[in-house]
Amino acid sequence: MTSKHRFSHILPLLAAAILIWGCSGPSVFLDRTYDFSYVEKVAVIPLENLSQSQNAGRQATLILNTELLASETFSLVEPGETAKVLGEIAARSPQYDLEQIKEIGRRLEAQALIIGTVSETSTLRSGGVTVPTVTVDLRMVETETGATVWAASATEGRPGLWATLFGLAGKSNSETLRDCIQDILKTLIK
Amino acid sequence: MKRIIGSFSGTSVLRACALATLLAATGGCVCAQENSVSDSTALRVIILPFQNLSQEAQAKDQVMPRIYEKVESLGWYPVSAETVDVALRRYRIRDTGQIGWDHAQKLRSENGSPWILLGSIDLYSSDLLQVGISARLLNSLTGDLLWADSRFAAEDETPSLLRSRKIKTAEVLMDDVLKWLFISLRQTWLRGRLAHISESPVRTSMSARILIIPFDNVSGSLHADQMVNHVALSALFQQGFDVVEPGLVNEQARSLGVMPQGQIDLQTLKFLAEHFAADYCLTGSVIHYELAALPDEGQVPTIELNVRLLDARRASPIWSDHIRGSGSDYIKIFQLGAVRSPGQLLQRLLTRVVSSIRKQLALRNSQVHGLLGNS
Repeated sequence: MTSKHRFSHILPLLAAAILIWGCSGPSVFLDRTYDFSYVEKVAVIPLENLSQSQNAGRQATLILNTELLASETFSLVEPGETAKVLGEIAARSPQYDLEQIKEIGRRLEAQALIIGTVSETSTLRSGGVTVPTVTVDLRMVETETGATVWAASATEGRPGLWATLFGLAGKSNSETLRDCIQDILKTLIK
Repeated sequence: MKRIIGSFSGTSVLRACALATLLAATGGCVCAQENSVSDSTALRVIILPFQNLSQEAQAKDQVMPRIYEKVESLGWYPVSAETVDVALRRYRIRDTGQIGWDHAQKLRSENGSPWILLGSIDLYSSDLLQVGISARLLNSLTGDLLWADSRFAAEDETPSLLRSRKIKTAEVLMDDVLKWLFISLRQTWLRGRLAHISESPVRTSMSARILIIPFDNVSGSLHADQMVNHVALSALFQQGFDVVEPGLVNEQARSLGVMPQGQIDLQTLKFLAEHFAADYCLTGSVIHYELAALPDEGQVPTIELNVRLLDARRASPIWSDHIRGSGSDYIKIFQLGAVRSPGQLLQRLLTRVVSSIRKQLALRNSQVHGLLGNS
């Protein structure tokens, strides 16, 4: 078999892998009428964990905090202060009513809250490789009106190109979680 | 002082230092009262039983006698383990990995020594052949940390040309670790840290004062957070920060009815900053901590941390980073250079973190000075 013939076998495979690999963009809602420059300070509410992994919610919250700080777009309420205020107003559920949202915003002096969920963490098997998969939903709620001004959801951890083609080991759980959160935040922060 | 020290050597230098300390401690008129240190007790050191974070229960029995020997080899006189034990029981001090102000004062007055050596056995594994020990020296008169360091060793990391010196037991590694720890103590001690020892609890250090809020642990690995706390403390101290003894911080936080871990509310932070005259606060979380067997790479650790530095007085974040490292990151060629000990990997990561923090603070301070200059 000539080298030209060999390529003719590999190319469709490559194209298919790239197609599968590249189909995972976040779903996004963005209130285009809202002036985001109004938001100077945000508070991250600890993410709810609906997955099987016990610490996924806490891990995602930590990563989200760091990524928001690293973006240098908003100033962030110290997580300890957020936890204290949430404890004081006994608002442990991420399903807050308008009054609670206003109260949290007032006490933390934050113009917006970031609320979210880790919906899934699982491990997929792709050939000989295990690939961690995570799904995260985030939304930004304005504290004055309680309106959701941005929401996005993404799943990260589909078998990568190299894993699909060559069976190479993929990323760890936390790396996948971090990539997922970065992907989501890219829809809010350029 | 350097000239005087230059004319002595070895143990005599230490004795000279101890004498200087004695003079410093007994020189003032106030010191004739409660805080005075008599001639016979000036060289005494209280050694608290090291906290054992390893999986091996007998690790403490192996390490503690060697620590006593090492302290004696420095020319100091450790208060006997039995005497310390009696005092610990009397005052119901259970957690000996850290110490609060109240307990430190009780131990000092009971044993007549202001110096407390405490620490932890972070790693001790006879199977994996890994040992790690963190230690620090506290001046209970002022609450100042005089020295802190962490040392780790694993079989594969011990420098040996073409594996000619095969390490066989954890005891041998422990001896190596203790040797380097006490070399570090001796060098630090001779580098003028005596200035820290003063009768008055007034702060004399010009270094940035930093308090560590214990790291949170979401890795699922037992004690990973405590190990990170110890290594972070050592890394900060070794790079010139004035670190507040964690036991003192925890004692004050408890007095407010809180036990912050990985995060802190503003009121508590402001209180602690004011109480300890602290400039900065370091905290974070251990996200991933694993010693895993990788194909073709043997057993290597993987660690992932989230670290934050806060301005302690304004309670605002200054710097934050997400750090991830694996022992295999350091492989140069054919598995050479791989870091096998989680402790050593932690040290490398946290040393990098502290260097970044120093740069960030230098930049920040120059900006502040620039603003002040412009105004």
